[in-house]
Amino acid sequence: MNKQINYKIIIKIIAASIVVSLIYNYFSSNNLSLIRNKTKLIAASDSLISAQSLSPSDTGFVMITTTQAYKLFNIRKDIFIDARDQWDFADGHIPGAINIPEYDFEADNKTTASLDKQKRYIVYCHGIDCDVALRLAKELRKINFTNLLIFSGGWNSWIKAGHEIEKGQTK
Amino acid sequence: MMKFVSNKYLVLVFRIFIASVFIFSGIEKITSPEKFADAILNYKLFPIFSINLIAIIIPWLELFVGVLLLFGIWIKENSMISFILLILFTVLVATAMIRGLDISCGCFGTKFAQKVGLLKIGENLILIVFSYLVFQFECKINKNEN
Repeated sequence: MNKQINYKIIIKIIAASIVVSLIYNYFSSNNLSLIRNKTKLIAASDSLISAQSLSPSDTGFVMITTTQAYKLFNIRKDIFIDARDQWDFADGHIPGAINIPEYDFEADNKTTASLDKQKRYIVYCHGIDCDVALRLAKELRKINFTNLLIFSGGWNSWIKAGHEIEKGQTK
Repeated sequence: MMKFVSNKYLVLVFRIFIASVFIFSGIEKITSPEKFADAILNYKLFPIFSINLIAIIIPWLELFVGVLLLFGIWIKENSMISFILLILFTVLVATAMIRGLDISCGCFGTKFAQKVGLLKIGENLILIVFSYLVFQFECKINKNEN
């Protein structure tokens, strides 16, 4: 590109953006902490998941294994929430799961409004590499869903274990 | 062809278009910084501690560049910043695609979620070309006017 470019101006624009963004963030109601902390995941003991009611810390989430998820699936008390998009969900999901795609989640959507906040929900996505289950759980916690478990192995570990599946959209 | 793309009215349209995209994108992210931070996190490319800082600063840089381009202030410098930003965004989307990540690109916040993919890369390439043309020809127009 052109040699006559004034790099001092570029530095000024970047510096102004940094200063204004930090000031705005400081006074904003939905501000972020400058340094992000990793969300804590707590491995669930069998006694913890059979207790039905969880009291996790504000920042952490309780994580369950495939075996624990299958155990809870057979008890059929808790409800699975699939955080993947509707197309992946239609291709296959845990039987009885509800689809709440994380990518277009809105706190006041119909599905979320129809759910009983007293019940326990198990949120999952593709597998250990995906963050959408955790992110959806964070969103749900904001709207007072406090009894949440994260099935970290997710869909991939579920089919790998050969457990039953269901296809199609949410009924 | 060069005569056509260097037409001053066409270059003005390109500049206003890039400015509008940057302003819109910046405001969307400024209003929901947490969602934008999550979108950056999804790319799994940046250290966790830096995610929030990127999510705080980048939208304001986009807004500044957009507003300055819209009002025709420091066009050369701002079109260069937009050019570099767009190249960085395109590289991010391309690497996410190559790694098989099935994620929202976070380009316009999450209200207008778009998945990473060829369509997004195509859109970015058009904006990159527009930025380049604004950089090249706005300067010449200014010189001719002087």
